[in-house]
Formats: sequence, C-alpha cells, structure tokens
Amino acid sequence: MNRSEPVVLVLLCGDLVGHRLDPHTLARQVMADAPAVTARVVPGLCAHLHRVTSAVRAATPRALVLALCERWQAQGEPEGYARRAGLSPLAVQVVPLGTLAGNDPSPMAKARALLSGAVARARALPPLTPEHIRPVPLGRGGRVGRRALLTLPPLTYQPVPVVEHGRCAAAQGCRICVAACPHRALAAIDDVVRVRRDACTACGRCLTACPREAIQMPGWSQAETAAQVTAALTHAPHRPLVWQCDRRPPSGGAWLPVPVSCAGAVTVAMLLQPLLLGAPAVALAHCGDGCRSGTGMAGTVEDRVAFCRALLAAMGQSPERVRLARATEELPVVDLPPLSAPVTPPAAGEPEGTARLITELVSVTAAPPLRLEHAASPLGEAVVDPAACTLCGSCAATCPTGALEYGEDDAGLTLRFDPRRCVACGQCVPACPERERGAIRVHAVTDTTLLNGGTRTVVRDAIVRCRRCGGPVASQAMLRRIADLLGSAFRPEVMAERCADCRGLP
Amino acid sequence: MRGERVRLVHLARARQGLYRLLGAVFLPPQVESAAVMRAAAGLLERDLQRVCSLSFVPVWREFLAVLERVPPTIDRYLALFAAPADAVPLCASRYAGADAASQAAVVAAVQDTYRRAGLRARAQEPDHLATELEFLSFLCGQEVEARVQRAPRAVRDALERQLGFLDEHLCLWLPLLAARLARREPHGLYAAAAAAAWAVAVHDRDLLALLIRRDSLGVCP
Repeated sequence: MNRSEPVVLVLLCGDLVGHRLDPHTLARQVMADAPAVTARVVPGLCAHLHRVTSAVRAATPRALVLALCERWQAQGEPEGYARRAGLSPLAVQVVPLGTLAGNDPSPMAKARALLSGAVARARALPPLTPEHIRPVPLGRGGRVGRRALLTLPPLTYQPVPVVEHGRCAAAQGCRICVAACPHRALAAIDDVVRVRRDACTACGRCLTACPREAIQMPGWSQAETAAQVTAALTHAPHRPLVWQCDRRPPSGGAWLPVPVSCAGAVTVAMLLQPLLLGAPAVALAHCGDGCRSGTGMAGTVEDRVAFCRALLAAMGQSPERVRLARATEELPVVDLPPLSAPVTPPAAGEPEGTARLITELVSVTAAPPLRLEHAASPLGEAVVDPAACTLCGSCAATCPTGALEYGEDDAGLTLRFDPRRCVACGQCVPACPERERGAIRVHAVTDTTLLNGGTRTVVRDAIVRCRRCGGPVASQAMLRRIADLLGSAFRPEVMAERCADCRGLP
Repeated sequence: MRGERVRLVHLARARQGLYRLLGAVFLPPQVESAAVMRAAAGLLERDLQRVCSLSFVPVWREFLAVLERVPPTIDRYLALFAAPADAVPLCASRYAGADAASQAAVVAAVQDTYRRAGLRARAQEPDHLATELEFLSFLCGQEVEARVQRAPRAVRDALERQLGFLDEHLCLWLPLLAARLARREPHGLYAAAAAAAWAVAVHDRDLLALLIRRDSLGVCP
C-alpha cells in the first residue's frame, strides 16, 4: 500500500447479519473497490462502541467509516470514541447500514454502494486546520445544574467555514455568502468576509453560494459530496438518489441517501448532476419546520426544485425526475429509466460547471435549444445597452465570477460577457453609474443558445487618446455622456484631449 | 460518553501547563531545554489523559513526538527567528502590516491588556509569542484559583479575559505564524509547536465562548 495515500478504515458491525447483510463480504468488496482502504468486521460494534478507539489506534487511519446497524441517537458519540484515538472529528462518518439497506430488495448491492460512497467521501476529505472545527455541546438546550457547571459538558464538533481570502471577491463588493447565511454568521468588515464562529451552525449555505469556491468547510465540501455521489452511483447506477438533510431520519427504500449539512445548501447543479451519472431521479429531503436554517430554507429549496422540474419539462423529460420530500414525506417508488448512459459530469462547484452540466443534459436528451426565465435559475444574462453604457468598467470590476470582462485592444475598449460564468447575482447593476438609464440589467435565465455561444463582446467603443502622450483619455461614449451632463460647460480641449497622467503638460 | 465528565478545574490546569510549555519552546533554547520540556510534558500528561478526546490533543501529541526526535537547538532557533534575511517574526506586531503605526498599535494594545490584568511586561517585546502564551498561562492560573475557591464571578472574569485575549491578540496572528513555519520547516520542532499552539488556542477560544454562554444562560447553548 502506498503510505502517501489517505488511508480509510471501515469498521462494520458484526450484527449487520441480523439486517440481511453479510459484513465480511462487504468488507472484502469495499477493500476491492478503492485503494488504501482497510475494512474490518467488529463483532457487536454497535453495543460496544468503545472498540472503535482501539481499532483506530491500531490502524492509524486518516478517516473512519463506521457501518452500524441503526442510526445512533447521540450522533456525536461514535465520533467521540474515534477522537480519543486521535482522529479528527470531521474524519468520521457513520452509516446506519442496517436501517438504510436492510429492507431493500437487494440489500447487499445497496450497502456496497453506500459504503463505497462513504469511503470516496472520506478519501476526498481536504486537509484540516484547527479553524475548521469548533466544539459544541453534545445534546442541546437542557438546563444545567450547579454541579454540572463545574464540569466540561460532553462535546461533539461541528465544521466551521473558513474563507480563503485569496480567492474571495469581497474586495470587489461581492456579498453573496453574507446574504446566503441565515444566521448572520458572516459579515464583511473592511471588505474582508469574517466568520462569527459562535453564530455559525454549519448549514453550509455559504459554501455552495460562493461562486468562487472561496469558502472551505471540510466535512461538507462539494468535492466530498461529489466524490460520494459518483462512487455510490458507480456501484448502483440505476438507483434514484436523495440529498438528505443530516438532521432528518434517513430515507429507506430504493433511494440512495447522500447526507448534506442542510437542504438549503443543495444547489441546482447538485440536483441535476446525479441524472448524468445514471440516477433516474433525484430528491431533496429537508428537515421541515424545525430547520436550523430558519424559515427561509423551505422557500429556497422549493424554488430550486421547481427550476429543475421546469428545466426537465422544457427538455421534454418528466419533471418527476427531480422532487422535493418535505419533513415527514416518504419517497415514492420510481419507475423511470435513466436519462442516459452514465457520463462524467463537470464538477458542480467550478465556475462554469453549472453551465456545462445543463448543456450536457440538453445534449444527452437531444432536447432543442431552450430558454427558461426563472427566479431560481443558477445562471443569468447581463443585458447591456450599448447606447447607455459608457464603458467605465465598473460592472466588470465588481463581477465576482469574471462573467463581465473589461478590456482594451488596438480597436478600442470592449466589454465582454460570458454567460457560462454569470450566476445572476446582480452585483453589477448597483455598481453601474448609468443604471438609471438602463445601461445594464440582469435576468435570471438559462438559455442554452447563449451558453453554447460562449463569450461575446457586448459593447465596443473607440478610445480617445491624449494629444500629447497618446495615453487613453476615455471612451468616446464616456466623453459624449460627460458632454451631455455638462452642456456648455464641457471643454473638449481640457477634458477630451488630455489624459489624466500627463495633463497635456510638456 | 463514559469518562468525558472532566472537572473544569483540571482542564484549566492542563491549559495553564500547555500554554506555559508552548511559550517556553519559543524562547532561545538552553542546553537543558529539551529535557525540561519533556519532563514538563510528562507532568501534563495526567491532566491531558482526562481530555484526550478534545480535538487539539492529537496535534499536541504530534508536537511531543517531534520534540522527542528533534530537540531544540540555539543554531536552529537563530536560523529561523534571527536570520537577517528571512527570519520568521515571533512578534504579533510584525504581522500587523508594514507601517510602524499599525505595529505600534498592536504593541500598545497588548501592553494595555497586561496592565488591565495587573501586570507589566518587562520583556523588550511584549507582543512576543512566548510572552503572550505565558500571559495566557497566567490567566488560566487565575481561573484555576477561582475554581478552587468556588468563586463564580471570578471564574467568569477569568474566562472572559482569556477569551478577549485570544480573540483580540493570539488568534489573529498565530495562524499566520504557523503557516510561515510550516512552509519553512514542515517537519521541524517549531512548526509543530506553532501548530499545537494554534490548535490549543482556537479550541480554547471556542470552548471558552461556549462555557461563558452556558454559565450565563444556565442552559447548554
């Protein structure tokens, strides 16, 4: 075994036999499915969880997957035994295999897919720093007696988002993550996004909202969930997949559950991606009224699911391929064939990933070009009026994804727009000094013709150059606008013929 | 989970020792430093055994393992922290920006914190990592004393002082120092010590906030 590879330890409870599962066969399969994986069957693991500590000490893995019979009520407890052996709390996953696979018509196939997914997720765990986690009480809300105040409360850990300032576009005015946080745990101070660690509940909505992947939250990163989905569907290609809020009891039946920190963190791309991997349907199961993300979560996820359904309908596909499962709602049996043979989808988190995903979906379904205006569209279109735009470049300077690009070439100044990168955040609109004249508008729209057309020039204008040094003064449109505003006070010999650098002085 | 009911006085004592030992690592080493540090770590071990499931403990143990392999030497210390060309600064003010005013503000702020705690830093560099860690150790000592005397108000004050110091000083620049040391000598003693100090400080910061909220609300937050 190559020791430089991350080693994942899988511990299976021997009592899984009682759930129509053969843990020894599963252990062999999971070791064959991925390199650098060690799997062991521990007799009576669920009843003797403390055995996790010695098993982890012996194997010194980087990550641990616990395949238990049922969902553990105190979720932090199994992880606590792994922590005692020195494992990071974020490196532990608990899969209630008996509950999830025991009642399936093909329990072993489902269990293998679930375990392979969990292992792939564990292997994709990014490097951790101390800032990525914080201790929280295990079990919340109880009154504390006087004696208890003298002791350390039982703790578990939750991930904390960390902003990678080198990638963050806060200095350009981007506040998408701040707006996405339902707990006001993010704040932009002096154009730097700060995380209020105590207010964060690790819902992960900032993580998936950020168009630049500038927020890291190991344990729930998009790379980890994507790895899990890909591996699970590789072993169970025709099963429907459900993105499931981690607080909700796991879904049974044929559906492959993939836990997410909060249903509100599931993006349109995450809802559509499994369809390209062979899943005939995708569901989003949220936890309901007691959601830690507040009342806004339900509306957000309903809008996203509605968009996906409208998109599928526009492609001539059954909208039932994407559905919402409310708090206690059971997921139905799916009787749909896969959309296509599995294809490798683009990564959901990359800037142009959503656009590539949608164009790929249109391609595999042989759907005609479509244009769908929808409030939850993950893509947008910036419509620039060349008659009103002065080519000042403010919109491009504030665009967090680089969808608007301001440049200069021999022919003059250009404003270019890449619809594959536009996330319809609309931050360019307030930045535009000519917004009241309608110089720029943003539509939340998914238009495959636009997407296939790629980057295009939306405004071009000549540069007026300094008569003395040849340096740029401004665009012609800008000078026309200044002349309009100043009227008779406009002095071209001062304002239009000399640049700000040399001011026409020798 | 069994065995996790740790008395907070023991935890405070363990943290007091951790900060003191980590602070000592960042002082110029003497001949007997390694032996003294190992002995001190051994004494700390009993208190740490009780809290072995806390997330900073593995990073601390990693530091101890490196300390066993790589004893501190004055040559290495000088090469890292006193080399004329590319020394890694051990003072908070050097991470506050290039301008003298920002750096002076950091020094003034940390001195003010010491003063409010009834102390005066005699060291030339009051914002040196060793001084700041020693100060935290002192604050943990105050917490231990308050807990032994069962004085809730004093405990609360001690917790708030620690949290304030971590929030306003140590946690702001320790990650930067740890990152620089990790780049300079990824498997070295000082990188491991900075990583351990960072892990302990960040964990402490969150734990103290949790304890303060719990104590003031009377419920587990």
